Amino acid sequence: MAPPAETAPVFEEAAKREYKYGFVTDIDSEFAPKGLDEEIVRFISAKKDEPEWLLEWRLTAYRHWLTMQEPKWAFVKYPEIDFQDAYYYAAPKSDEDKPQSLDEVDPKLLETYEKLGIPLAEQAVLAGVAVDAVFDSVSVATTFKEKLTEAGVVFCPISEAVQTHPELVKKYLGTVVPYTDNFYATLNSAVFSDGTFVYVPKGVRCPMELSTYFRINAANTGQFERTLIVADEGSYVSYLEGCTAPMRDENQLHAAVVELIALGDAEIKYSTVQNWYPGDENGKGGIYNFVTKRGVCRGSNSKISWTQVETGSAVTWKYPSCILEGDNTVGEFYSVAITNNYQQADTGTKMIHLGKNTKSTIISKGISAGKGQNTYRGLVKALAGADGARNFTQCDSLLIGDECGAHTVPYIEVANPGAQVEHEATTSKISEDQLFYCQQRGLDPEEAVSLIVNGFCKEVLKELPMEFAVEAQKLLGVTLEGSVG
Amino acid sequence: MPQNENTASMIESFDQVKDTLPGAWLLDTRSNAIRSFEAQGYPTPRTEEWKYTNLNRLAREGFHPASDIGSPDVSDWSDLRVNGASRIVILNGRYDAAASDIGEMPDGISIAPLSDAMEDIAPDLEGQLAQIAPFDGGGLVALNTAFMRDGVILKLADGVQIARPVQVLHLVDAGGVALAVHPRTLVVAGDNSTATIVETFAGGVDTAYWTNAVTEIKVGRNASVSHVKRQAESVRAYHTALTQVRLDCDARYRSIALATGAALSRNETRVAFDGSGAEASLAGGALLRGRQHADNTTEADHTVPYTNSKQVFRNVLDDGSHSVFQGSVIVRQGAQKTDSSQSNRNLLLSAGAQAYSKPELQIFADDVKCAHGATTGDLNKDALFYLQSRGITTSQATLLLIEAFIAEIFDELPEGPVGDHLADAVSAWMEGAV
Repeated sequence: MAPPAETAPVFEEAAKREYKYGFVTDIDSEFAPKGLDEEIVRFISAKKDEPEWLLEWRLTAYRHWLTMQEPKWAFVKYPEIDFQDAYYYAAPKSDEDKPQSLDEVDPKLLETYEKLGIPLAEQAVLAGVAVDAVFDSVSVATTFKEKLTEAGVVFCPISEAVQTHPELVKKYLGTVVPYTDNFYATLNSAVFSDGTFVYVPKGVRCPMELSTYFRINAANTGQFERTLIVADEGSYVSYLEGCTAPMRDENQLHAAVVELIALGDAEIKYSTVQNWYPGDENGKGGIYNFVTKRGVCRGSNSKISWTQVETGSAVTWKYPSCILEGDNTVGEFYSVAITNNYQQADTGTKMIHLGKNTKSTIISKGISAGKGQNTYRGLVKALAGADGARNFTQCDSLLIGDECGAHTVPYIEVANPGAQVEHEATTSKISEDQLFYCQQRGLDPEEAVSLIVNGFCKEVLKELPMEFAVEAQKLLGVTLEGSVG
Repeated sequence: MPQNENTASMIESFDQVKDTLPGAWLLDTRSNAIRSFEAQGYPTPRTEEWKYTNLNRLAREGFHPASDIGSPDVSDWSDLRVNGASRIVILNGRYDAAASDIGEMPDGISIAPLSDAMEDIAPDLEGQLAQIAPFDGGGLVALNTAFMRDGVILKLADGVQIARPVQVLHLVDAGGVALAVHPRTLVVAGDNSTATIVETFAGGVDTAYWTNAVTEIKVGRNASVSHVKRQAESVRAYHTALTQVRLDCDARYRSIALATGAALSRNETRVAFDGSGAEASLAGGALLRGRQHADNTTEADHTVPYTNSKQVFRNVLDDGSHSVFQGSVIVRQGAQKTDSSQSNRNLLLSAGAQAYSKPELQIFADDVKCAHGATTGDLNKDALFYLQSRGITTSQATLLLIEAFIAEIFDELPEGPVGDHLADAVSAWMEGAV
């Protein structure tokens, strides 16, 4: 559908607007040599001063990775990735001597955060959020540590946790996403640079929302974060992950792994706003986001809730999943995924019902604009032991323009007659009537689209913590700039 | 797909029988098809389309087309006849003239066994046979193309209506031979024509056999084809079938496929819309027990604007049976105003039963209406209680609810003998359930 003649120039102008958060900070990175072999794996491990068992684990993963094939089943197209043509380790120079307070942090880093709108000190104070900011691969600043320590919560870079809490890391690392899991998770297991480790002890309600801002900076550096969150019995934690990346031409690979473990009566809430550089309007550049996220409700009555707003990246391949092992456990997945220009997203979830009376809810909203391709791919599986399991899935797609695509691929596998599984999906477009109504009330076409899209996503956005919800709403509008037709 | 022993033995068997197959003009196509099979092999669960149905056992059984197997008595199957229909019987993969009864056909209709047609009206067939379902569409259609020996060709001239349904009764009773049959049906309905085709599959229980059917249907402008399929193969049999349909402007295609038979069955229906205003309604399902596995796979490929498709599939699973529904709707760029719906519901009656459902939408156009829904669960407890409170026993109430559940696929079914044919299939299954 062509845009109405009188409004077309507005859209064209808007479409040409540049990526707001596109800039490169000039910092000397300490690189491992290009390419990947056992030596590089050893180099990364040595850099982190890791114990022998972790090096062995990395090497086993690397050797297994060599036997694996890149998966091809997702509805995404991208040029062949040359895994030997990338750097697997880069640390900001200040790594050797970690800053003890914000004053000691490289001012150029701080400047970067300021451009992103997250001045650490201010945000920490105003929002009451502890920020463990990952710049490239090494964490540079951690705040509010004392307060968390008081509550007994461990919140630190995983590289630090390996040193300070080796027993916890060893006990849980790779138990949800084993090193054999899939091509990208295996690669991550071999070369993961850093990430976040959270441990909430028994019965503790984490006193604040935990948050990490990731940012890819060094050119040609794949980022391989590894996040491990363990909520011990009866505890609660809410974790926020958000990111933006500088504009550049070469594709960057991001293969993160996130593992969540909720023991009996524990609850983990994991929220993501993903706004990496999506490539320009011709589909050049952009991040490849191949992520494995999985949580396991290990004890009974535990709960894991995933909320994600995916607006960035050139290619997204991501299925935050829940394994509902304990009885009466609950899994939730709320997702908004937007693709504009040449973005491609193949995302969804897996809900694996093992325990009795397990419940899961999936609400997925996909929005395609421009030449974007958006796929919901989700698995709901109730095994023979999952008596009384219950799932409700709703996937709605919204199409803006006649060159984009919206696809829905649910897999429903039920092996227990006591399980009730329901799936429904709709596909529609923004109607002329809705647009006309808003414009007639004085909104310009872009505001109108933003309003309608926000309404469409409301069910998901309301699940986000406050600070994120505001950012996410703005993000929806920004992402769809120039897409109205 | 690497070549393996099973594919190799199939190729060997082709070399043995190729000169005995009808229609010398087809030999090149057949040879190309077997080479295509050599390249594609049997489908495996590693391909997305076959994720839930594994043909490993079938491939290992070593089914082969046999040269000639007497003519067993087919009177045992007389209750599978549709009353008043023109009937063509294909026994062990060959036309059985004695058991068939085509009857008088009005002008403008040509109906013949495929083996005869391949010899007699070859020039007529050349541009049509194996065109709607080309052999490179998969290993099984390639095998069928290579080995097809018999089946039916039905052609309707423009404006012709056939009042009587045409029934093709496929029977296998090979008496100890591991027989593979590859029947092919071609239906070409001219503009403004109307026809009803019933395909019925059944076989003897003594030996395992394999039916690998391909049906090609072309529906002309404003023509209407109803297609009913009853799959009541022997419980030891394997049944794989592909129905490929092309619809011209304003054409209508309605299909209802009910499976109660076969150890493993796969019923694949693919509809391509070539003209605006065309409509397709695909309904079907399976009533299963024991260790049966039934797969219904569909594809509605909307390439032009203003077309409609509707899919309704219901499966009832008892014991340790498995059902698969893989439905896909593709709306290509430019196919605006497409209206499509997909509904799959599965009823699990036993702890060992498993239902796999994958209703898929691929949409590349914005001004469309596409919805799908899928549910899996057991009988509604409230409904059961309600019936019991009215004095109906648990088992009667269960049967009543099952019947109502499966009846949702019969919405588009015409009254009369064709409807009875499917209703018989349901009651036959129910009797086994009591």
